[in-house]
Amino acid sequence: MNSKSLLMACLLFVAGTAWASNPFVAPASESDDRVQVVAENVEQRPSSIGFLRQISDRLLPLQRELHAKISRAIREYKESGTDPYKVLTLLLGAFLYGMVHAVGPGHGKSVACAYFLSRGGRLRHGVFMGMTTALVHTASAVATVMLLRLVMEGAVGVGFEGAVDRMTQLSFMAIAAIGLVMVGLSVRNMLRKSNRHDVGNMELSDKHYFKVAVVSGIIPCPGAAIILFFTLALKVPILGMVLVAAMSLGMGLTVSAAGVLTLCCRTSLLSASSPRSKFRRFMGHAFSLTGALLVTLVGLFFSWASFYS
Amino acid sequence: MKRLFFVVILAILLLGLVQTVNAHPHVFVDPEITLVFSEHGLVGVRHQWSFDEMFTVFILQDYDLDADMRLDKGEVEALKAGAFDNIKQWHWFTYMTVDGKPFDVKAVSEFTAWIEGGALVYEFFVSCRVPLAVGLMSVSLFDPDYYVDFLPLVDESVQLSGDGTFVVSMSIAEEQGAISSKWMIAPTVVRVEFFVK
Repeated sequence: MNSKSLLMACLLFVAGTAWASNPFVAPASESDDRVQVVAENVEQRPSSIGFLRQISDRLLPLQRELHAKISRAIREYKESGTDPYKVLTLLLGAFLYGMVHAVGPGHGKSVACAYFLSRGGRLRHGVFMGMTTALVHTASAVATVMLLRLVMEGAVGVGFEGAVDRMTQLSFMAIAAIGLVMVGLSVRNMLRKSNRHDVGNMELSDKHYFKVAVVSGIIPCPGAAIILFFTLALKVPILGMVLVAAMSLGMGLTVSAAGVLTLCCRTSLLSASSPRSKFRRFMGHAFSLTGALLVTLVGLFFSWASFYS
Repeated sequence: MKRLFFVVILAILLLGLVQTVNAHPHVFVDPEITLVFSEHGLVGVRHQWSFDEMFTVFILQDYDLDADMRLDKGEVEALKAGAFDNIKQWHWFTYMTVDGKPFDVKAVSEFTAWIEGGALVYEFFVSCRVPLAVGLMSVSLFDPDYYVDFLPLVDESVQLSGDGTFVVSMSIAEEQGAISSKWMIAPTVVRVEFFVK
């Protein structure tokens, strides 16, 4: 039952990961049909989804409201000048917006969860990887926007989407490569006869987590870019940078929470049996291989999707 | 064993939560639609989309080239080519049925755009003829990739116009399964029935 549950969770995990680009300005697809209209009421929502749907129903209006309030507050800042209280409120708004924004489907959480499922780590690694992924994600957007403003005249929005597409392809190919290496390592560990090696926690160095976070986060964040474009247009670029940093911290908190929760689940499952038991070794190998395969699948599937799109 | 079961459930929740909570839009649209009638029945649906301020600025930096916060004819044409025609791939996010059967939106007409209260506004017309003998259709707005968030249609955002003397019965409600989507969002569907009294 446990294996089946885990498999189901894994399938949900891979099947549900989203990647999308701005439909208004993204390069046109060769395919004419991106959507399919189907007959009405063909299926009912499974009852177990009701709870998640309720969360979704609350988060969506909140995100819309925060987005609108941030726009208004930036304009007020531009027109009325600096008021420390208002600036603090604006920063808090950007932080909350980042938190809520990152709850939505995104490959950063998928890769972090799958990586931790496979390789384990300490809770601080969960926070480190989540924060690094978010910071790289937004820093990449800032760098791309600034570079485009320097080298392009007009059609900066289209240029940004083009840059996102190229970096998305590179990022997912790199994720797939990391996943394949992880699969190789998992298989090698499984084939080892010695039971001295505890597969429960591989105790990797921070460099490993950093590399994965950079590869995963390098795709420029459209949410950060749009805030930056807005503040640049209003000629308050410093405020834009600070807001993007606050948003990034909020996003990092959400991604960290996903990673930390995965680590907690993994540790609890493994610690339910003694360190040398066969069951623990089996579960350790199962986690290791499953997580590695998930990282590979996310990388391969979205490499394909990004080229296809 | 109980502990194990609890942790597995937690893992499923975690992975499910990460993927199924939908809250990742980057563009926010307040839509209004007008159902246009002639004496023979429904002719089509006119859309008016007001974009959020940030997306407005994002688009205008490329298309309001003289930065006067007004879109002249040339700028509207460039805007249409660069930031409207592309959503044909998504059927302009418009999902319709006629007499219970899917109606594929393959073309739109009469596109125009302007800036109102700091917001970019798109207007266009989707032709969809529903004769009086049929008198049954539905329409909803939704981005299946959830990059664009459409504010759900409500009574105030659905208007009727044109000729003809009909009784029009309309219901607006969230309906699961009305649209094939990879996410579990139930779009708001406007159901319209019309007949001669």
